[in-house]
Amino acid sequence: MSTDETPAREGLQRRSLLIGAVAGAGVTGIGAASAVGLNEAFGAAEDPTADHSDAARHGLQVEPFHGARQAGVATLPQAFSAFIALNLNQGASKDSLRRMLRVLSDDAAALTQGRAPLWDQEPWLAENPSRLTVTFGFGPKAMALIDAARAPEWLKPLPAFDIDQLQDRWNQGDLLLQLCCDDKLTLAHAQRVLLKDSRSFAKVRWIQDGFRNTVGATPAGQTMRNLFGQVDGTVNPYPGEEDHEKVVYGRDGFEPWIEDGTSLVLRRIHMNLDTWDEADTPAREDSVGRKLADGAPLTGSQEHDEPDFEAKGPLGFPVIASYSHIRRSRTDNPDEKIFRRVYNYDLPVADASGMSRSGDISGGVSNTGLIFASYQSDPIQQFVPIQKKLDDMDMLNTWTVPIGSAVFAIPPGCEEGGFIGDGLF
Amino acid sequence: MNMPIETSTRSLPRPLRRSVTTLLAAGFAVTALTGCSADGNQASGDTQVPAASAEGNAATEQVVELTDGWAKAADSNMTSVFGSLKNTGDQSVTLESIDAGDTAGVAELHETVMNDQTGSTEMKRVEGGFEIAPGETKTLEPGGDHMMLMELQCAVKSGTDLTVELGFDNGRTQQITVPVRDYAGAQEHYAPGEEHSGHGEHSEMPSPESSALPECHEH
Repeated sequence: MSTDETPAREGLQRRSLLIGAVAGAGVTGIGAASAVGLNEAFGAAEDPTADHSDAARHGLQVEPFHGARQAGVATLPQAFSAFIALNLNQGASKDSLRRMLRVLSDDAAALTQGRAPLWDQEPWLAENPSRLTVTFGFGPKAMALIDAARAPEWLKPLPAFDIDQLQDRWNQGDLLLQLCCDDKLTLAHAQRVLLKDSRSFAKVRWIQDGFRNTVGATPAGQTMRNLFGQVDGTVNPYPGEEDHEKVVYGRDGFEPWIEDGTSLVLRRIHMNLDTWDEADTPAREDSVGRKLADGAPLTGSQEHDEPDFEAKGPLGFPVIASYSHIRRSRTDNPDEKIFRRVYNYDLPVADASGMSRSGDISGGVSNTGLIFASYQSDPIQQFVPIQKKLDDMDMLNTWTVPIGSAVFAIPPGCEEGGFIGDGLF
Repeated sequence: MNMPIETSTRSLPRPLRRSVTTLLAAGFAVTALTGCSADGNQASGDTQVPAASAEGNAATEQVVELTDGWAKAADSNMTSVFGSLKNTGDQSVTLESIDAGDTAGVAELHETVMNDQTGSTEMKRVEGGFEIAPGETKTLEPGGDHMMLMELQCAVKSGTDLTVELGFDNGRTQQITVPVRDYAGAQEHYAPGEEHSGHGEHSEMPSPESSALPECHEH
């Protein structure tokens, strides 16, 4: 026991406590995160040098790992994401998968709470959890190993859509690790630790990196924009809204495949920025049915105004066109709802020039799109009907092409000492 | 904060149980550990809670308090066990031996020392064991002193628990159970690009597809 406490040690000690304190608050959800943001704003105004500024440091905010449900679904979206699909090694067994899930769960639990596993060789990179979440999903092969009888019927590739140009390199996978974090460095480290853990059990099939605005860049609660510049995700059953529980967890609605479990449909959607550039503002707004400036429907003045699909323009045509994205994605069937939690992607290009043409999924000076993460209790009943309508007709299809598709069963969370999926073994 | 000290061969605990309560205590744990060797980098890992403390009559007893225990996965040859052993009693104790049962043909305590001739560190068997004074902690870690299992009889797989028995100078023994994890380090003679000899077998990364030995059975 040391008696000569150095400031550094005291600092570390304090940090641990703060992380713990924030962890408690994090359970209450989105409100807590916003409150911390406010505290920081006021704290900084009072005394920018005060030690308590640490208390509001975004890096120290944590999301819970243990609990009935996995974090990373209802969690206020973090700035960065890495969706990682693993393919289990040949010879994988129920027992090896159990061991793998235990290792990954232990380390995910530690890392999300700002603690480095003992075998972490860069433990300092775990000190700023930055709301890191790790969400596990099971593909068909994982469920078959765990308990084929419990595999939901929808756990298979979606039906083919005409607009799809799926590339197998972005499809499916046996096991999903969805990492989301407000700090890219912390995320990269957590990814490295979990991939090292996975190495003797599985291979990496693909990794889809995504991003949104970084912390503090936009007002809290603002709907994100995608790289078309569109306000993206206005109509969405957010946590706390009336139908969120039903849409995501099947409460009072669909039969969930397992209590507190859900599904993830992950669609990689290429966005052709070059042909989008050829469309001027009126055409862009017409294609979606919303104003680009603020996301308000063409019949309204504010983002969350209800669109009036009956409204007619001077020539008698609908103000919101019948082929527009919001008209086509709107359905009268209350079951056909999904909860989306999307990320942008924008991959580096090299030796790139010129323009890509309509329908192309490469070319030009950008490689850009959307990682469309959709959570719902039952993909077949909820996601597929919407996608079918958009497949039949959606003016946005002019500029977008789905190039990857995967479906995962998201199991419930686990308690301390357990591992994700333990209830299925 | 403690690793579970197993006193029965039944119902081995999950050694990695953690809780928010211990998280709140983690800051305290940092202070508690600062007295012992260069262990600072694991401050944030020291959060295990007693999952199953002494249950019933002890088949073995608690001589020392184990924290941060773990072992490196290995498919064959040899592996290492790490952890911090604190003497909470008022008498000095000496860790003299370890016994891995059916898992390893040979189990030894190793220290890492500097070779004055080559300037590199090497590991060798400890003569006389590790003496731990009252209140002191002996830290066994990669790159430092450690417990060595050789002539593995079965593959020690990531995600399993490994139980070994510590033998002390006064004839007392203590079973400890630690989680097994893949780990690329803990190669005392490791030099990038060189063929390894002797302890070079350390470097083999386990792979379920190339397992030379049957998997060790968890107790």
